[in-house]
Amino acid sequence: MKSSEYLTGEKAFAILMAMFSAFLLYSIPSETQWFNGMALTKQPRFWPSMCIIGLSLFAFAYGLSVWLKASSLDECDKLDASAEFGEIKHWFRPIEFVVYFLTYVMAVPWLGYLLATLAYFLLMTLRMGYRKKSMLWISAATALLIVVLFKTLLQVKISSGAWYDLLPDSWATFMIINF
Amino acid sequence: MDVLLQSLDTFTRLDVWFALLAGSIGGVIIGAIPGVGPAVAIAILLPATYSMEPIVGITLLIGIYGASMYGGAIPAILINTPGTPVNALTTYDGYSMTKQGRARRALTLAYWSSFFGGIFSVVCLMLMTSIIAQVAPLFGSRDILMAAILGLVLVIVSHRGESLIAGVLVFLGMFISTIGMESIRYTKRFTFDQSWLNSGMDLITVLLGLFAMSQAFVLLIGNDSKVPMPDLKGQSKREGFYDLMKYKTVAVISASMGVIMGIIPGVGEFLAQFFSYNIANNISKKPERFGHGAPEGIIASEAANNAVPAAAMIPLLALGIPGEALTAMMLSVFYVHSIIPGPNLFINHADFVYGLYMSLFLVNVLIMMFLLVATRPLLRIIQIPQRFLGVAIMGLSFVGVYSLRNSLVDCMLCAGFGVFGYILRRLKMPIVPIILGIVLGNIMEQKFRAGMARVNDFTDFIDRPISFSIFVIIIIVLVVHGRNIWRGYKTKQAKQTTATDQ
Repeated sequence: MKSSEYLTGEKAFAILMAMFSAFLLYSIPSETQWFNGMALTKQPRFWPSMCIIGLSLFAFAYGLSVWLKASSLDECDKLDASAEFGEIKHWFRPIEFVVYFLTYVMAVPWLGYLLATLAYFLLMTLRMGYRKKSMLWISAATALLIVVLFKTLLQVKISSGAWYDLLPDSWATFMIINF
Repeated sequence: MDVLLQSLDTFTRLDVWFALLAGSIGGVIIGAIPGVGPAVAIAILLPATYSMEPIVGITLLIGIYGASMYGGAIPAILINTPGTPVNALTTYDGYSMTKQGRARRALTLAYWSSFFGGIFSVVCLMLMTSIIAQVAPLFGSRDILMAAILGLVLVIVSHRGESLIAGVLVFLGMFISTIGMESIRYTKRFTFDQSWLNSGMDLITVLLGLFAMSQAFVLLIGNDSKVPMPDLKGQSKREGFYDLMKYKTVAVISASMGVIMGIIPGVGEFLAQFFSYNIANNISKKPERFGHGAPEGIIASEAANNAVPAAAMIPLLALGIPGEALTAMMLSVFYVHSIIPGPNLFINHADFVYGLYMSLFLVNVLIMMFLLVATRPLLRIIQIPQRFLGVAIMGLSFVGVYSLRNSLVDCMLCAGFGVFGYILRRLKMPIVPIILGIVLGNIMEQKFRAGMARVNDFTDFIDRPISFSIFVIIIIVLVVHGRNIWRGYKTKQAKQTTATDQ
């Protein structure tokens, strides 16, 4: 990462944190309750307010430090920093993988943990650019291992697939318990 | 004595031994893979341990915690990439030794140093038990509140050069801990009329997002780098042990430093190895060798960081205050099984405490035995393609978060925190302060409310000897930190003036 990109990222982060803490400060009256006649320190509002005030003070001080750092740059760097938003573009790159992840999550109650995990691992392996058969086998084996370890052996609570109900009773029970 | 025998009885059980083996071997493997680390592994395994008995679950997690640092030394020494962040200093001398054709010697030295640090720390923990058991009950709500504040202050000041952002993240974590229904008046706080926020944000969801998902994103977005296969043939396995014997003083000082730093909440492995490395450098007869393959450098780094896990158990068990992210995660396992760490733990669950000590001891022995025979196969693990690792971590994160309550919302939250963690990683900002903010913030609010019954004004918080002593320590820490910042500022100004004059 270039130093100018890093500083752009820091500036954007400082602004976001300042805006977030200002929003929280503004929301204190509507999002917490105040009981008349109760001591200040016993109010439900007291503790969140202390946290938000602390957050705001540190966010302000951090913003100030970033601003001072930016203003100490020479003119050439300043132009570079304001022109480039490369770092902020990077922040959106995980969104693609968030979509894949949530698709996987939504697929589990339909396909069941085993099938959804196999599909997730194989498709993600292909998406990552691995084309060798050996890699796809490793990917499928990893998926199977994870399912067997967590669902079959450790009996972690993961919902069963909707299509399991279509199976004969004994098979459906077996699939629900193990996969 | 009865309690000790009762705790030994635990180790006749197969499930405990399975947890010991799985934790030790799994931890070494996890540590040896650059980019995974114990925090990711523990966050993923945490929900699975809820259904286990407390001693089994904690043993598994402790195994991973302790073993990962052993394993992390392997890539640090062989490919100049620390397996876990706390092995960073090992690269200085370890990789230099590899370049000089002494890789096997560096590895065995790292293993023996880690073993020494680990066992030294467990012995210290055992010896201190009677003192801890006597001192811990003296801590009241206000004392624990002050200790938690000290922990937060140390978290902030120990992030040198990034204290302000550490402060932002600590308070953000504390704020997150207040979301949801509060337990006294049952009023909603910052739920924005969203029913899914009524019970607050689950620590596991946040943890998995910040540690596991964000790391998965980093790996998925990055590139696979070709890792050369190191050659260990024809090198002696014993030299590392002889080196450790030769530099006993360095080993003892470093392990002691690890114990001290482990006990202090909020400090942890980084400062332990940093200080011990500097001390080893200062007392060395050949300080010029440091950074160029000095065995003392490896001893200092590895003995110090492996002494921390057992020592970090002291504030956790005695006061219920976690010193860093990993013990903060373990705290949730205690709570799930209604074992409340704190002053009464040594009275109500003494067998559990001794069982924990035994687990820590056995974990170190098992890891050492495993490493002495399995180093060569472990080298293959370093070569797992990074992006495939990202796919696996994301898949494993699903297990962790979805198994909590099969909720899509939890997964969305986890992904959201993952993106936030990814941004923090991009900007090289610390993640741990948020987690400690959440855990310590929660403890602080509880103790603050409990302490309020005996408090008329704020000076009553420090009218007890313990709380007053901790308060004085907080003031000293803040003054020293302020002085360091001022000195740094003056030095920087002097340098700028000199540069301008030239």
